[in-house]
Amino acid sequence: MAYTLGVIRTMVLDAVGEDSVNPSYWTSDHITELDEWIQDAIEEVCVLTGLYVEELRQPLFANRRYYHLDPGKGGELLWLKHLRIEPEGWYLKQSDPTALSRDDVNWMTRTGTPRVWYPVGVNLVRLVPYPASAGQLIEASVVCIPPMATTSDMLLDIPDHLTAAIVSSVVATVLVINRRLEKAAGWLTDYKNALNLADSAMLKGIGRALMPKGLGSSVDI
Amino acid sequence: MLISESVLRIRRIIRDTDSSIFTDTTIINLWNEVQNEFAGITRLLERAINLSVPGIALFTFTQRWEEDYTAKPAAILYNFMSSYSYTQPWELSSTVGVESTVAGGYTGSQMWESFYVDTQNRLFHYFPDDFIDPSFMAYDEKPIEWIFRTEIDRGNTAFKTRSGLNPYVYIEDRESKLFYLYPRVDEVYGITDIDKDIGEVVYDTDTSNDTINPSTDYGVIVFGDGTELDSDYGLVVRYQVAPDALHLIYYYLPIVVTSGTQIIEWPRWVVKYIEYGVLARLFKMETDLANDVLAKFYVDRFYIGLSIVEHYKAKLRTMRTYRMGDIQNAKPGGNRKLADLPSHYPSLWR
Repeated sequence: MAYTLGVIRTMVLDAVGEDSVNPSYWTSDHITELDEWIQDAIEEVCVLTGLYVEELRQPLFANRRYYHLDPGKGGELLWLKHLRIEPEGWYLKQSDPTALSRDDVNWMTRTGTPRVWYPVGVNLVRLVPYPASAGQLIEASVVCIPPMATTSDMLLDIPDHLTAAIVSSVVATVLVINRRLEKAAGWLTDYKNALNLADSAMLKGIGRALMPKGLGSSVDI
Repeated sequence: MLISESVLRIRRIIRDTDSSIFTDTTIINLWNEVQNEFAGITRLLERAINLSVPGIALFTFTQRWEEDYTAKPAAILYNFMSSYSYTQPWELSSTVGVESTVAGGYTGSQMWESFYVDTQNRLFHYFPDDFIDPSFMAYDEKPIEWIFRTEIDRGNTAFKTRSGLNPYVYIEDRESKLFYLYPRVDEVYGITDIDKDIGEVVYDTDTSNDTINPSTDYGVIVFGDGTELDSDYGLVVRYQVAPDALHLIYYYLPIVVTSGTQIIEWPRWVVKYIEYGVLARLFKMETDLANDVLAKFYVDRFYIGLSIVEHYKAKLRTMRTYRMGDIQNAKPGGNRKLADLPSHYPSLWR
């Protein structure tokens, strides 16, 4: 099954002790607050797991070196998994300006069908060599963050097994706002466990950092 | 995402949605502080620009006797950054020999109206205001390196006057974000619209339209009217392309936010980590909302954000190929003991 925003809302409200049918605070006036915390959780899960991938196509223009890449559905670009050029069908290799300079001092002026690319900042790529004429296309598989769901019937584009992580994170946030710190600490532990970050050395470090330290060790306020 | 939306999210967590404890200004000031810290540590924001050579700077021409009207200390040429500097039209021409068609009278020039570089001074450039660190630099579409004063001074007494191509970026003073091209570039092709009524950089090698010798002078004189209007195209925006320019890829600081209607420059998925940094500071402040436990909690969340950005950058900079060719190119370890296979098996390594 795929989860809708409405289902996630209900799961969170049930967990924080709010009546999910006739809520006292989380009415239509305030529900966007909850939606934002849900989106925050989805963002963090997407960055940590790279689970949401879109395909995008970008036409190339004559003599243009840099290209902005934006996911078509309105989400946010994270990183590229794969980049190829059409109609040649070549895979473009990733490089960086320093490595390119070691190989060819004139790489900045080379024109032709792109062979190499490198990222600049969060959503800009430079193609090397750059095309002297229009007509080609780059095809990219990009890891990104899905666009924010705004109505309760919208499906969330995340695998079902990560729903627990998202719900745990949002419940912890709500409990922190309510100053129920002991309970929040428990949900944060659940969040860390649901993410199951043990496979990667770097993510293992983040997983350790996600463990709540000090939270709940004092009297709730 | 607007900064006002982020401020509201912060207010909900600290339970101060009616602004009874903190003003928006306080929170926005903290926001700027934290976002700069975040940008400095993560180097997440990066952009590529082209800088004109010679650099365009806010200069004006002021005589010594005029210094009382402006700032001190004054010099014949000084980059006054005050709002008003007074220049006579004939003053420029009398110094560098450019004929001015404007005769006499008083002219109050704004600092951005005239541009002048003394022949005795090296031509310097500024890194952009939001510059943190360079990632890559090129001049005239060729990569160039950095060099520092100690390296240039060593056995090189004539470094101020040396010229040529293939320059280095000579960083004399890192704090002021000032740099030179060393040796100074003696072949540049700037914009040459001196005959028009629009102020332009005049700097070319054939000296056909001015009396400045580019091999000896760095001279550039410009009168500008502030806007560039073309009868055919309306407002014309001129942009600098990479040939004959400094191509700079650098890490930058985000736009300082001052009011709620401003858009946050960060991707949305980063904003919450900056908010955590702001929350950590707010919970630490001496107010009724002070809470050491939550302050510590949000400091930890802020550092988790730094780690997550580090993870993101590692993903951004590596793209795995999984090509079979990589396996073919792999070399066995030098002291690797091969399997003792039956003699009729084809050897993998030999």
